[in-house]
Parts: sequence; structure tokens; C-alpha cells
Amino acid sequence: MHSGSAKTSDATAKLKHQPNEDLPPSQNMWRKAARRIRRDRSTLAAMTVVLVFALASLLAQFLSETVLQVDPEEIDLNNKYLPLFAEGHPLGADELGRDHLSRLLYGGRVSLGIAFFTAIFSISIGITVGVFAGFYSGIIDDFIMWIVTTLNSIPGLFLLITFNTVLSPTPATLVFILSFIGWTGVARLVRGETLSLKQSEYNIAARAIGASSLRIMFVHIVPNVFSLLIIVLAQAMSGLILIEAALSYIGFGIQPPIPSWGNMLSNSVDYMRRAQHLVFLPGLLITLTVFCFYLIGDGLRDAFDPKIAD
Amino acid sequence: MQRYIARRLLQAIPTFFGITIIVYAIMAASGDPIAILAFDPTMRQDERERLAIRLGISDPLPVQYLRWLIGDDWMMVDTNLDGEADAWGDNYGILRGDFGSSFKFRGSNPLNLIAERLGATIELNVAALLVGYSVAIVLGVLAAVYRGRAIDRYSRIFSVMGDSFPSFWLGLLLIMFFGIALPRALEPHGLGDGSPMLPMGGRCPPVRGGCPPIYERLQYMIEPVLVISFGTIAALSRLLRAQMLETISSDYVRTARAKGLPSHSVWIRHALRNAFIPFTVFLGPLLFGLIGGSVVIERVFSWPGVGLLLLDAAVSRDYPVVMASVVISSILAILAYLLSDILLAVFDPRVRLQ
Repeated sequence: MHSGSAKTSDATAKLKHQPNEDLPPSQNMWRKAARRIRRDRSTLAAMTVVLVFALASLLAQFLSETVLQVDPEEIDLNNKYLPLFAEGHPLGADELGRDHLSRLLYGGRVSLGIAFFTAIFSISIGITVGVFAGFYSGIIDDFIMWIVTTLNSIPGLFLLITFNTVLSPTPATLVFILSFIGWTGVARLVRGETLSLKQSEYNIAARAIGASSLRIMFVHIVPNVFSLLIIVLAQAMSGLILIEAALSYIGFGIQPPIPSWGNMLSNSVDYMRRAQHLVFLPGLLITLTVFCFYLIGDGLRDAFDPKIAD
Repeated sequence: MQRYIARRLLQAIPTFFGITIIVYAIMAASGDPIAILAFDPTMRQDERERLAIRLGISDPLPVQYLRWLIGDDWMMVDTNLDGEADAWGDNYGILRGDFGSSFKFRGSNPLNLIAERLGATIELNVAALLVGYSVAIVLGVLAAVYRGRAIDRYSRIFSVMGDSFPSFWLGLLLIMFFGIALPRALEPHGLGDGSPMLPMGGRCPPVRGGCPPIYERLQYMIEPVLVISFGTIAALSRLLRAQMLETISSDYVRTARAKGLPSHSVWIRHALRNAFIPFTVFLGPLLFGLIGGSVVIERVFSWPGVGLLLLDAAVSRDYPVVMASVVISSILAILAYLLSDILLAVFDPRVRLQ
């Protein structure tokens, strides 16, 4: 308690909380947002759908082994192109007679997992790079912004295809590659916020009592952009699911036999005359998930918007 | 104005070099280029060695990059593996348009391959841009004028759908509907013979003698243009609506109303004009999205454009063509952003002063 940094944080906390003595403003903001979301039915519905999809994908193995009693890899040529609601295969079977529902569950695990981990990684990179660029303006900032502009000037899919001709894409490398090019948006956002926040009184005060640069960056500035980043996370999820699906669709994403919604869709195109539900269902799941994350992003933006009155 | 354009052009130069570094680094990260070239089974051993020397594999990476960038015809290189430079290089470097020659189409200049395909990509995207902008303007203005009424609500639903529909899925659904489902449904009623009502892909009918003029093959464009413009309309119409509502509450619009101008004149002449300024800002990102999205759309509709060329080249590991298409499309993207910035400066004098 008697160390220098503890004193600093006490002092800055007092400065920071000056306008509102009884309730700390940050907590207030989070509570207010939670209250608004509880009243926002479309956002709640979207969250429910996403939660159900996420749980179903996480439990893919349990659901297909115990509940459906099928193996997603098991080939059964007697069951080729089984239609919907067939016995033992509620969503039919694909061109090799593999159970469609369990493949969709496993595919969801891949698609949602890639999007989630990529979003987390690229946001972490973006925060770090952005806060450094904004804090140390000058040559570091110029260099970082040069990289950001450069990465933003190459059409994303072109860059991803180039990457994936060199590296053969597995879920892990795909997360790596997508995060490598995906952090620029967050970096820009955090840089802008840092530029304005580092001039604010509480940060000047923190500096005056001798807080280190790292401490100001990660203890005083970064927590202030968290509410923005939650919105970014929801938006990034919908964008990433679309990109992964598009990439797998054109054959440069997840490679069969690992199922992802994108490569299941791509695979089914050759059989669209025989089994249209194989084209319809993976696409529907992608669209629904993206749509829900889109609604959640919108809802969160409104919930955290200080300009909207209750 | 000229100074503004010159400054923006100068800013694009470091970006261009950044792009070439990234593209080269990815290719270099693939390991030994000769191992990559060995994917071409028609290449003989002596050719392979000559190529290895010509590419300067033994040089350090920055030197390799520079030779790729500015060529080596001005320096002596080692062509017979004795460790001494003995002849002039024969590579002009990408800055002078030499991306090497395609592995797949032997000896072809990648730039020529791209130029052949660029027409198809531009044709499709310009058509989609025209359709998208016209519908978006009408929809955005109507949604702003009749705010909160049915048309506003429908345009909102439409735009949320447009943002979440994957373009390739929408394309497949259209192909399935007009190519399979609708003909099958109509056939028993004596309508049609069960053959696809719209082409299921491609740019022209499969006949000899190249593509007929565009007005004779409009049926090939209907589905891809619908899919591309759907996303454009979704994004632009809401943006325009928001801008319209913002301008309509500004002072000069109130003045226009106060002096008794008719309603349509206020909306169109006063509000729409200013609401249009951000449209030019959006043109850059939009064109950027179209260039990137062309890979997926062209794959769905087998449209023989630059995107499909890149895909084919990437599948067959035709590295010169891959690198050329990424660099060229990035240049197009930079130009698109430049164009939208210049247009913005034309419409909004405040920008030039910054």
C-alpha cells in the first residue's frame, strides 16, 4: 500500500472520480449499459441465438455422439443426398452420406472459433500498437501508421489468398493470418482515443506525480477504451465469420475434411441439382450468426452511447 | 487544388513500396523459390538452375527484393555458377512492368494476362455501381422524407439484411432459383422446358469469336449485378438517409423553407446536394470493397475477371501472376481512395486547407 504506484493510483482515482463522488463513473457507465440492454429485446434475442449456436458448437462432440449417435466423418454410401427429416439424420446427409447436422455442429465450432480467437488476438494487437502509436507521436507513430495504411491498401482477400498459397491453412494458421491483417482498424481507433486522452487532466496529473509511461498507457488510458472495444468485438465477429466463410468458399480457407460452414457451402455447390438443402443450410447459419452479431453490435453501441438519454 | 492532389499522390508512394515489401516478404517466406518452381513438372533441370541463378537466390533478401523491384539489367550477374558476375541481368523489375513470366501460360507477361481480364471486372463493377448508387439515392431520400413510415422501416430491414447476407450465398440462391427451382416449378404448367431461365454463370454465350457487345448478353449480368449492388444499396441508402436528416435540420435549409420554396426543391436542391458530400468519401472504401470482393463474386458466377485469374494462379502456384495481381489490385485500390479524396476536395473546399 505504501509503494509509489499505489499512491499514484489513489491520487489519480480521486482526480478521475471528482465529478461524481458517490458512484465511480466507469461502473456507472457499465451498469447503465447493462440496464439498457436488458430492455432491448432485439439485442437480447440476438444474444440468445448466438449463445445457443456457441453452446451447440462447443458441445458438438457430445451432441453428435450421445444425442444423435452419429460420427460426422462416417461415410455411408447408402445414405447419399438424404433429404431433410430423414430417419436418424434430421438434416439429411451429404454427397458421401455423412450426417449433415453433426457436420454443421462441427463446422460451427471451426467457424465461430476462428472468428472468436482472431477477434481477441487482433484486438489485443490493435490495443498495444494503437496505444504506443498515440502515446509516442513522432517517428514511432509515423512508422506504425505507414504499416496500417499499407495493410489497408491491399484488398483483404487478395492478401489472404497470397498468404494461403504459401502456408497451407489450418484453423490455427488461419487465426494467425487473419489477426496479422485484422488489427489495423482497432489500432487506428485506439490511437485516436489515446491522442485525445493523453492530454486529459487526469493523465497530466498522473504524469506529474511520476507515473511511468507504461502505467499511464495501460492503467489509465486502455481501460477507457474498453467500452468501445466491446462494440468492436461484436462487429469484428460478424466481419470475421463472413471473411472465413468467403475464404473457405473459394477454397483458400479451412480444407476438407475439417468442416467449416464456408467449405461445406462450397462443397455443396457441385451437388445443387440433387440436394438443395446442402447449399441452403450452411449459408443460412452463416447469415443468421452474422445478422445476430450485427444486431448485438448495434445494441451495444446504443447502450454505451452517452448521448442517448434513458 | 493542384497542391492538394500532388500531396496526396506523394503520400501514396510509401504505401506502394510497403505493399511491394509485404508481397515480396510473403513469397520469400515460402522458402526456397526453386522448390516452388519445381511444382512445374514441365521444367527441365538446366532451366531450373538457370532460373535459380537469374532469381539471385544466393543474394541476401534485401538484394533479392531490390532486384525484383528495379531489375538487374544495369548490373552484372553470375549466370554460370562460378561465383563471379559475368553478364548483364535481363530482368527489368516490376517498376518497369516486368513481373517475370507466368509459369502456367508459359512466357506470358502477367501484366498482359491481367489486362485481358481487367475489362470483365470493370464492366461488372461499373454496372453494379451504377445500379447500386441510383437505387440507394432513391431509397435513401425516400426513407429520409418519409421518416418512420413504412418505406423507412423496410429500407432499414433491407439494409441490415444486406450487411449480413454473404454475397456468395445470395449468388448461389439466385443461381439455384432461376436455374433450377423456378424452371422445375413452371415446367408442369407448360411454361418453359425446364432449362435455366437465366445463365448459371459465365460472361457470354459459349460461342466462337469472343464476346458479343454488352447489350446482347445482358442476361449474364443480371444475377451478379443484383448481388453486388445489394450490398452497395444496403450500406449507402442508410448513410444517405442519416446525412439527409442531418442537413435538413440545418439553418440554411430552414431559411429555404422560410422563404417559401416548395418542398421538393428544398429536399432535392438544398438537402440532397450537401448530403452527397460524404458519398464521395464512401466511394473509396466502396471501390476497395468491390476490387476485393471480385474474387468471390467472380468465382460464384464464373466471371472471367482479375479475381478469377488470381484464384486460378494461386491454385496452380503461378507466383508471378499472383504477385502481379496483388500489386496491380492494390494500385487500383490506392487510386480509388485517391479519386474519392480528390472528389471530396472538389465538393468540400474545407478539406483542401487541412
